[in-house]
Amino acid sequence: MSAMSGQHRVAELAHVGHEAHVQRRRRGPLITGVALLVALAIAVSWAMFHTRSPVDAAFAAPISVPDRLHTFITIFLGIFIEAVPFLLLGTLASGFVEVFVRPESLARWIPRHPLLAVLAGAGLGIVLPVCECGIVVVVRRLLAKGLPLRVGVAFLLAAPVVNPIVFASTLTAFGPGKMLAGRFILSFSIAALIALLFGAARPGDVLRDEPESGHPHGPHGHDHHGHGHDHDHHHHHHHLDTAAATLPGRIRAAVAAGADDLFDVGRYLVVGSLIAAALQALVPREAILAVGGGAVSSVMALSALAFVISVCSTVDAFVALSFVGTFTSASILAFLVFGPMVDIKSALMFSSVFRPRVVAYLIVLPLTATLVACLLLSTQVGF
Amino acid sequence: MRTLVSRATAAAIRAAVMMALAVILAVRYLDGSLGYFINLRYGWLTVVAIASLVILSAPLLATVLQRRRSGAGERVPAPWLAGAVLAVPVLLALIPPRPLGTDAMATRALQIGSVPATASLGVTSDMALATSDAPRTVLDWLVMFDQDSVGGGDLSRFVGESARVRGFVYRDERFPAGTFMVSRFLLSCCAADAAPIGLAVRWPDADFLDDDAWVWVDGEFSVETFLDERMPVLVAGEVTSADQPPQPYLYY
Repeated sequence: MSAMSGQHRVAELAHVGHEAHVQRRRRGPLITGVALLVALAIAVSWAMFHTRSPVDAAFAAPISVPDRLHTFITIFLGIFIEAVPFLLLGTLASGFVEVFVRPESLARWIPRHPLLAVLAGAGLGIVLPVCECGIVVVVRRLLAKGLPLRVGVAFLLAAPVVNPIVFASTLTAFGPGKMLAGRFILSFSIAALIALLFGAARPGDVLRDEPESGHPHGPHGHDHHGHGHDHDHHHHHHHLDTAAATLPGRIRAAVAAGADDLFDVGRYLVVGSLIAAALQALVPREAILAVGGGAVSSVMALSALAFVISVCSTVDAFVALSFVGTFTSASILAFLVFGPMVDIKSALMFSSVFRPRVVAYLIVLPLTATLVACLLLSTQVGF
Repeated sequence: MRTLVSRATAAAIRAAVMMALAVILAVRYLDGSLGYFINLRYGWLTVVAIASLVILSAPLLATVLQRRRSGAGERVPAPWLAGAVLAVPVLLALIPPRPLGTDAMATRALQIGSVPATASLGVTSDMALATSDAPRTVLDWLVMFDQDSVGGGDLSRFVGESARVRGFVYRDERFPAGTFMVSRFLLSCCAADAAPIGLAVRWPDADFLDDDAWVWVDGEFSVETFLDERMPVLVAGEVTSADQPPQPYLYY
């Protein structure tokens, strides 16, 4: 033991030694992590022993907030706090994709046939359950790794619904029946259909080439196969350059890449939640729902509502329950299909991946497809 | 326009924002006010978020420490914009939190004397039955009214039944003098989906009550027409001021 620590000390003292450099680099995150946890624990226990938290005590006196603003803040924080864990898990997943998924293996997993590839993309959520708040960062990263655009779009649009968690919550809310089946079949089909349309597009025309943080990313060529190695040289890689190819080094690189994503995409979540909360605090919900008596208008009203209220797809089935009886089944289906694909906050997050024109397509196409499908179901099949 | 800073400074800005977010989330979780924003059933997700923020900021802090020592000179764009935007939720969460109140009702459909369609689903199974010793909530009563109506009843079995419920005072211009609604918000997921519910209350001194004031209402039901609908109305014998419950919302 003493021999070991002696050796250790020698290594530490040999400061210029590469060995020591790697050693310190490897322990750095661990030590900081522990320090952070301790700091957090102190802050938190301090808060615990005050019935009224010190934060509130400090701010209560000087701040007097009008009621309407308070409503806005409470709704904003509701949306944000509910969404941010999923975004964070998404960024961690995306970091690990960045470091551990090699473009070549990605190309090998994806079926060659475009239709099969799209179906695989639309079903990917079953094995990679990511909801609408986490999906954008993961898809962005996969596209940068050379994932074919159509597969990425299929995954992006389908995964918020086609995953086990949403299956469970929809089953709980509506039971096994037409709403459950309709939601999953329709979401899967619409996502696949739109993804096929995107198959013809060239990634360079669709993807934003440079996020504002200044890291270029995304495929720069027009052919998305066989140029993956390219990327190793010019994107979110500053940690990869230096970190040794050891497992701890790679984990650290993955986490660092995740942190990049949090800042690239998280701000869109914040802005989207702010807009959604402002609309909720200011626009009477009746203004949207009053439209909703007829077969057609109710489908449109609930699609609009789904876009505006931006509730997470994992729990929106419970929200939709409250419309049963007041609205047609087809319109509730539209709420459950369209909302998870696109709402204010996810549409804003799309802007971190796609060009503005494409973001518009990604709102309008799913909306049109959902409206048409739900109206056909209600008029032709009597859904 | 875009300022360049050292890698360590950029990392420090990001780490500071993430840690601030982690700390304020932890404070709100522990002081219970998290329940003003989301259904506490999903409180564990906030714990996941705090843990993720700690994990994500660890390598950044390590970068700060290392770069300072090695003095590496690479310059990167300062993440001021993204940092400022992500600091918005932190700043707003610093403002002493308040649950939704009558102001939020202005933009939402009121459910007086009935529940939003099938909110009863979740309630009958795990709430109304389980808490038989506690006084029934506004929601419990509404669910019972709905079940009676669905079962073909005319609500007459509630006439004369006594009740003690807690909620906040709501009134608008449609309310006749001497009436108010004892209200709660019903939540599924977060404040974004909150739906106001309430029982109509008749009390001679109703007009002296402040909006948003939390009250206990003791009284007996009678079935009357209120805002053009027949519903059980709680005829109050006593209305006393109450503390806001630790969890101001009811869940379904």
